[in-house]
Amino acid sequence: MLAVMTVLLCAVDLLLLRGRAAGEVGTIAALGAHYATASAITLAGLGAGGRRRATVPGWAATAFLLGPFGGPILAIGLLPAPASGSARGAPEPPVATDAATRLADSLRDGRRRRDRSPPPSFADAFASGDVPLQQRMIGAISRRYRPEMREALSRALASDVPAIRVQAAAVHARLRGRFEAAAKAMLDAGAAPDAREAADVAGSGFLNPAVRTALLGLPIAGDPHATPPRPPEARPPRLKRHACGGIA
Amino acid sequence: MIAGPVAERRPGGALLRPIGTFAGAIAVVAGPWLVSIAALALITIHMEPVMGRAAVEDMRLTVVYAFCLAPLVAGPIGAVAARRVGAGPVGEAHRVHAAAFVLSGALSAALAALVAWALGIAPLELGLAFVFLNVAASQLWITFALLGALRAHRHLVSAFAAGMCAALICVLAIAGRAPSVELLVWTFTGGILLSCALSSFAIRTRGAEPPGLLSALRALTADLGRERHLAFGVLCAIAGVWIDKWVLWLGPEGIRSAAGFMHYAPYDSAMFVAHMTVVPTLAALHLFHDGVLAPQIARFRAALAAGATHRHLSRTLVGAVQATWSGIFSILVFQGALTACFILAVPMLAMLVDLGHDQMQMLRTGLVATFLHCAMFLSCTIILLTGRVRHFLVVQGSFLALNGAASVAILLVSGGGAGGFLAASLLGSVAAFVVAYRALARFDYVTLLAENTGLFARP
Amino acid sequence: MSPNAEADVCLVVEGCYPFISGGVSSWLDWLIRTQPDRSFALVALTADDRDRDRAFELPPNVVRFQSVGLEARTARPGLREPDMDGAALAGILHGILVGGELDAFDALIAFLAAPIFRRPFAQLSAPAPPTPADLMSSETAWTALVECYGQIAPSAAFADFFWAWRNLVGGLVSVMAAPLPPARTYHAISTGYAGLVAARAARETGRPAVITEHGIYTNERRIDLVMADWIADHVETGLAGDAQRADVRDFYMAAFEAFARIAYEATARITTLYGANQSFQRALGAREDRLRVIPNGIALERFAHIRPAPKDRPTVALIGRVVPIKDIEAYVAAARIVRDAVPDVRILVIGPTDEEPDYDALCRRRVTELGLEDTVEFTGRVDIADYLPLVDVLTLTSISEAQPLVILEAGAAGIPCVATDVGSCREIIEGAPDESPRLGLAGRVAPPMDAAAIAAGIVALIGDADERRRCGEVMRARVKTYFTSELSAARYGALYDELIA
Repeated sequence: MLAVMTVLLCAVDLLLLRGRAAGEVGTIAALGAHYATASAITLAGLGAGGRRRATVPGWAATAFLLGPFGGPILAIGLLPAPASGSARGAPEPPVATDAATRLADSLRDGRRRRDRSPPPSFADAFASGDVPLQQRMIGAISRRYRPEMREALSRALASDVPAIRVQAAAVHARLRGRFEAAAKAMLDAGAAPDAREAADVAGSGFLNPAVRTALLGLPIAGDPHATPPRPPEARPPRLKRHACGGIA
Repeated sequence: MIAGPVAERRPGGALLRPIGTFAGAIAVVAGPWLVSIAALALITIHMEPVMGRAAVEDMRLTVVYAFCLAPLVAGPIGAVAARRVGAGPVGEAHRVHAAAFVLSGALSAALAALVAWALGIAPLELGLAFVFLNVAASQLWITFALLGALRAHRHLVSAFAAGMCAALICVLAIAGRAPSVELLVWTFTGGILLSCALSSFAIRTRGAEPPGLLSALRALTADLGRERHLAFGVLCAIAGVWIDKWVLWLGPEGIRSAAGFMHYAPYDSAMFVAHMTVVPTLAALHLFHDGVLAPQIARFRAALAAGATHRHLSRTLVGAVQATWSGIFSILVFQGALTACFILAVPMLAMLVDLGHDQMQMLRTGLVATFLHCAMFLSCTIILLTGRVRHFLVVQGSFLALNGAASVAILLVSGGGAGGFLAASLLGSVAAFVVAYRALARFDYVTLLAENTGLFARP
Repeated sequence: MSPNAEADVCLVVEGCYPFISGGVSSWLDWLIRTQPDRSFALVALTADDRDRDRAFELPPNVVRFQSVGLEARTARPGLREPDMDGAALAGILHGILVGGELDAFDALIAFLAAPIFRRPFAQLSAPAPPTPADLMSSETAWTALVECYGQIAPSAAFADFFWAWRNLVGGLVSVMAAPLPPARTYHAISTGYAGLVAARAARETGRPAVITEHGIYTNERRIDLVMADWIADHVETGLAGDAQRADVRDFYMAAFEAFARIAYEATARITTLYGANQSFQRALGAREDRLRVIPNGIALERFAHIRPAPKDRPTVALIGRVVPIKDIEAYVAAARIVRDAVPDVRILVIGPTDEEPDYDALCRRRVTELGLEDTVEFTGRVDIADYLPLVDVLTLTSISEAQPLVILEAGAAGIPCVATDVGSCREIIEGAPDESPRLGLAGRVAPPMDAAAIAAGIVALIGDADERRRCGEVMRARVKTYFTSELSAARYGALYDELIA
């Protein structure tokens, strides 16, 4: 619809411009004829309706603002835009940060550990460490869980410090939910997106045996003959419990 | 100083490449203006024998008035629209362009009509042509601003060359048929509009729906409200460059042209030459911005986003500050040398552009003043780059007030001259440097806190 | 409500009453209503200054209500800088945020009250005390931030530290700048920012302040923070931590502990629901002579008449919302073990199921997987008084609680309980260490998340009617002796009398 309106207005405007240049039409008359034509076409466009009706005001504003040049300029606008369109020109120069630079920066900023003595073991920490250390360790388990940490988490669950038990339980519930949800998503999809991911979930220690077995039998997406590698069993340690939580 | 991506893209040997790069930058920042001026000069030369000096002067004054008034409206709108396009998604430009064009076109037309009525521009047909030339000039400004934000200047010069060639051809065509000032203005308007239409292809997106005007206008006016400090700052910056001329136009020495345009030719022509001498600085700044400033800022922001320590950020910032001021001072030294050469060559320039003896002194003062104004401009670029928009407004607002007041004072004391502009530029350049220096030195504070608008409640 | 009248007690609460329903909010409503002769002012600290719907109608003896957003948006810094001493501000904030020093807190109060000029053109306006925007967004504030960063966590990501600073200092400044309702005593219902308001009131007005903690705020924050994924770790501190080099996570934890230290030191009394909590309070500097235990109380008359109703199946019930913190999954897993031992057992989950639909669906799926469709029943939201006569054993499998009212309510009805060892469950079931005379065992306590231990406790009670009856009677006696509403209200009344006197 806009194309028809534009061609009509362009034809009239070109005639008016030619007439004005040749001195055949006065300025006031040319403007009057342009505005009369533009008004009529605008009203027709609004009356015609259609899904592009919302674009008519923009068209009309251009036609009115540019006077007798409106038609030709709108006609130029009908020409197809280049494929690149309004893609930006030269992008911001990339900021190079390679691994060596990052390492150098982290050394210079004092972020690397200088003391390379091994950290205390989870077992020692939960047996004799102070509460803040144990809390930090549970936090680390929460954020960077690996199946090897399952035993430590179980020890924390059986701590004789209520705050540690509560925190360990929160982490346990959170990890259990996360791994169960991941397993469910894979089983619902009927395939594991990635063999390693499936093995990690299966070996998390938070799935019941049936789900674990089902997960290990899943085909890998894109390779229907492959199944996830069998991870080692992550079993919680057998701990002798006091009635109310402490371990011996 | 001018090394960087733009330089790397240029073909040519080791000697020619910097020259080509610099010429390219001049084409980008001033090409369309130079093409327009050249077209105007050619029209003047060609039509003066046909129409007489007074008629051609009216034509020239119509263009000068349009290029003075339209930016007062289109400048602020263009700056805000460019900011939106630069920060927004690709494809946003078309919508913003439509709204900015309509808003600035309508306001420019209204302003031009008001000025034409106030000055009593006659005949009516010339007044009407003047109004449409203002609309075209506003379109020109908006197109420039958006293409700058999109970094899509590539076809700008060719589009303007094509548009101005078309205008010249039309002028030649009507030259033999009793041309009038009004017809020349219409022709020039057509040339500008054609140039804008051709160059705004880069703003459009293939296959995109034409934007809904009303919603685009609403979004743009909301942006103008949010960025009002920037908009007023740009308005002050543009008005600040003109106010000394306005004072003289309206003063006792002001002259009224045949059509009714006020002007003061001795000052206008001398200052026009003076202002043209800073084009090299604009080109150098363009290269410096792309080659040094933007990467330095990007490096700082990348370090911040990557979790750098404050020590690391400070190191990055110190590097950025050194590179920035070293570049800015290099540009100023370069421009200073050029200005000194121009001052020495004033007699020759005067001969070239037909200036009188009084105008030579005005030109010398104007050259120094434009150099200082150029220094202020460079500092303001830093101020804007660091996001200190309110400070930009204060600096430009003060410059406007100072230039106006000093020009009036000098008019009353000595009858006119560029002394007011010189004094305002001197003080403005010092103030802008202090603000820019502080803003850049505390860029971490400015970026994270002071100008982080998301942190603050709207007043 | 009369805004300028001096209230007897100003309650300061954070993130709960009257906007959020829940245990602490219900308790606050109870506290105000059980002190009808006292007038209360209420300061509710919220995350931000948006308008909120109230979950509670304020009782008539609340004479003033005031909401304070911790993340209140300040005005943008003006072009004229406040003439403040950045180094002094840094020292004060460091003392508060890291040292938990009451002297630094006093210095901040003085800093906020001292009039300052603005530069340039200092003579343009009369000196006035600094605004929150001055303390948060001025160049001086930035100087203080950078200096503190250098002292606290110079290896941490600066942008992360900046946001932590905005969060912590923003909250501090908000509570320091908020108007303080006039009151004869100030009562904060946690440490954190509420504790800071009480501390500020005590220091500014000289009136006494008290803190009551249900859960231990700093401990809860610590648990949240050590597990938080939204805090990025940039400094290699190792699992054991590194006292020399801190990351943003450490800064957060240190700040909340520091807030607690200030609050404990500035207030005259520190109460909690049960004795085990006091070890945390002592660790953060609470003085022994200020510590008190005031347990929760329930309205006995609502439950005392409840007697077991005839039924054809032994019944176990968990009363609570179906949400992860209640660990309904462990309850369902235990149900399977119980059902194996007592095949006709009926296991109820009594409580709303619509709060976390995903978790509810998970629990129901688990019921199906374990073949417990005929055993486990979700009742939804019901009047528990209708169900208590049917219940033989009440179970609580929560992984975190303070002093759960449901155990006390079931206890008032003479129902024994199997609960996880969280909050004061052990004290309720086994009796406090200083209980005299010893009343005996009122049920079983099991480790949290341990379905086998929970099931063992249930089976022990379900399978032994005499033991069940005996435990029920012990529970009833203990609740009647220590956990009645009248007793609890009288203790708070006495506390207020003591402070106001």
